[in-house]
Amino acid sequence: MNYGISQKVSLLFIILVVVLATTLGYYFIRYQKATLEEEFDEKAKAVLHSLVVSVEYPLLVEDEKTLWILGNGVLQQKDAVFCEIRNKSGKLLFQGGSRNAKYVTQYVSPVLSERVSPLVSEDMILGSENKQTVETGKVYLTFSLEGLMDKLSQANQTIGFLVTGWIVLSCVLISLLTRLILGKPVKELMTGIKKIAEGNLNHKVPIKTQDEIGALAVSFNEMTEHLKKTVDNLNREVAERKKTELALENLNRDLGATVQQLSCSNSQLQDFVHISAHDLKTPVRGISTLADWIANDYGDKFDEHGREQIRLLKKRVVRIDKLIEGMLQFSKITRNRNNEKQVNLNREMAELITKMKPTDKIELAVDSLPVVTGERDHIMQVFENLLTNAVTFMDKPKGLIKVGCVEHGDFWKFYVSDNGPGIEQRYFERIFKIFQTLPKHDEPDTIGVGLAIAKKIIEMYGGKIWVESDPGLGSTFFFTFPKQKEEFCYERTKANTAY
Amino acid sequence: MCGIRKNLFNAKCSIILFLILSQGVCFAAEQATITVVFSSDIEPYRQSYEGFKAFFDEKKMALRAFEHDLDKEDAGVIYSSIKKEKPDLIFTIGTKALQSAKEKITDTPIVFSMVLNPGAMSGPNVAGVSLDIPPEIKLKHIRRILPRKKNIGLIYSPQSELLYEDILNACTELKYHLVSKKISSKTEFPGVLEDISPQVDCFMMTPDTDIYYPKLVEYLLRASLKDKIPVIGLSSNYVKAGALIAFDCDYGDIGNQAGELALEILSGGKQVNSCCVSPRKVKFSLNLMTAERLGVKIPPDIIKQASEVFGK
Repeated sequence: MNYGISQKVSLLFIILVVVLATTLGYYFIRYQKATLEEEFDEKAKAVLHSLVVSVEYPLLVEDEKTLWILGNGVLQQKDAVFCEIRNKSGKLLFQGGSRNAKYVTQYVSPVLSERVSPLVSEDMILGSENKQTVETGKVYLTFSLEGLMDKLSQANQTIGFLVTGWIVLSCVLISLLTRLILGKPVKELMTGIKKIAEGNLNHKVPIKTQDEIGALAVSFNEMTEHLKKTVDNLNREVAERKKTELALENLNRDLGATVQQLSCSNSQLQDFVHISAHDLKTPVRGISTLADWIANDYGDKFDEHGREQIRLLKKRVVRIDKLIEGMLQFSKITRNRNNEKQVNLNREMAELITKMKPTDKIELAVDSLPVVTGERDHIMQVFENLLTNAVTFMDKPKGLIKVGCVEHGDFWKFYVSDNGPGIEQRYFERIFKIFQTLPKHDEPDTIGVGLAIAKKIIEMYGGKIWVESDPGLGSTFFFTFPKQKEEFCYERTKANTAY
Repeated sequence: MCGIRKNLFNAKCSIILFLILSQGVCFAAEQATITVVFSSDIEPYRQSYEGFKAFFDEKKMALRAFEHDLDKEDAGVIYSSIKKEKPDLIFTIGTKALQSAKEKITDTPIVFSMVLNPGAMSGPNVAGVSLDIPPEIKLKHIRRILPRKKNIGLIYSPQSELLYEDILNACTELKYHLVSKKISSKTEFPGVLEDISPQVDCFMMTPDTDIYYPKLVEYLLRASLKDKIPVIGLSSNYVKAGALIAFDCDYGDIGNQAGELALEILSGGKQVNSCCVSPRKVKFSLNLMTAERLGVKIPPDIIKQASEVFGK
């Protein structure tokens, strides 16, 4: 069975009242009993003392007549039921009253008289306080306890009635007050909460008391108001967000389509580039062959100018072929995760240098390099292109090329520096674009693909490549490469690109 | 002198008296060593002792006194001290002090004071001043104060029988009629008092502790007022309580008397053996309110002579 809070509080108070009333009732009964017993005892002792004082002289002279008067006199006292007076030797001088009372208590007191000791008889004359006390007899006084018990019974009944009445009255009052003070406001509060829980945020709890419940109601109303505002704002935000989501969804859809189109276009473009390059290669080779035939068959028939024209043609064809080859190489660079593995750059670099066979004029210094994870051909392609550039364009009689690496957060930062001719700052961006070469280095062997391929590979792995150079003194190419797998490093790419 | 004292201690009990007397002859009354034993420390005893000392001061005699109080010290301790003190004389004040000294000391003279009925405590080395006023002195004063009263009532017990005989003799001598009754228990007192009351003009109390319990004194004083019989009390305290007249000793003078006696004993001029003297100064007190209620007229000159007057 569920009880309301007011019922619980009422019950608690009622229990307290009952315990308190019972305890107080018990205490009052005990107190009343003790008081009545004490009164009875005091009264009995007073009566006894009065009798003892009164009988001192008649007992001293054994005046039985006076003792009879005094004895019967004391038996007239309330509750005194039996009296005996005996002299020092136990002789009965008076006996009166009845022994038949059921509940009795007996009081006994010796009767004492002062006298002057015969040993100091002069004290009779000198009036010394040093008197001897002698017992001249005893008084036995019996009191009935029935009156006391009646009084106690009446007192108990009265106290019991009062306690019961108090408990009943207190229970009724507590019940009413608790219902009024606690039950009603709590019920109103609960009704309000229910309405608000059902969605009626306009409902106000109508409690205006100055107590905690009143404060709670005020807080609750404020909270409801705040909630209402919050819900309104939320609804607005939800509507806006839905609108935004819808727009975003549309945008995503458009973007997906665009990406798909781009992918398709890219694929088509790649295919086109590949096919075009492949298809172009055959006629270019045909032209080259034809040029060779012309030079061989008709070389002696041409004058010097004609032979020069044929050589230029041949040179142009070769360049076209290289351009097509470069285009094919650039378009082939794609990432295949299945080929990724740990690459020991120290070992690979040694092989690369052996393969490149640099001249004695060039000193190649390689620092200790790390082991990185990636596609070996890609990584080594970057180093090869950068080193080839440095070697190719070295203009100093004692060339120095350095390769090294430093840690840079979650990336390795590699560098390839040389003491070659250097690059003007205005060409720093341009040299990484495909088919872009520097004017003074426009040699037939360079077609401007190497740095573009290196950039494409590095960016494919989330890294960045750039150059720093002082013209005439040399250049340093830097690139970053993630230490760990791409997923992790990709997150860092954005930060890295800020360098 | 010291040699004589040493001989005195070595003597047998049977010749103590002789030696005391012999020693007394040789006593050069320059300094006396006296031990004083009090029964208790009450004012009358102090007065008596002051009188005793005053006598020696008057005689310009050095007194080396050791004081002991039986109420404050153990009797055994006191008497072992006394043996060390080796006094020339022991001065006791009160019955208790005399009784204990008489029991413990046999070889030193004892002078007592403030003792009622000392006859029962006589001894070879005991002498002193009694507290008992001789009956004839009392009767002479009564004749002067109450000239019309001729029949004197008296109730006595075996304890006061000797005193009764003295009173009887004095009455016979001074032509008073003594109506007396001997009782064996205090319980007989009211009946006997009732019996003799019609025959008496006044009632004389005796210092009898077997009869005169305070409650019986109260009864007697009430009965005296009821029957209009004057009571001659034992001291001014009784007059204050309702007796018409009582006779008192001068306690200081008793001490003075004892001093005289002591000096005489120490100087050998007096025999110690049970020598007892009565107080020489007697004074009386009156209760005028009692007198009025009894219808007794007391002349003003008598009133003037009274040492204490109550109920003015």
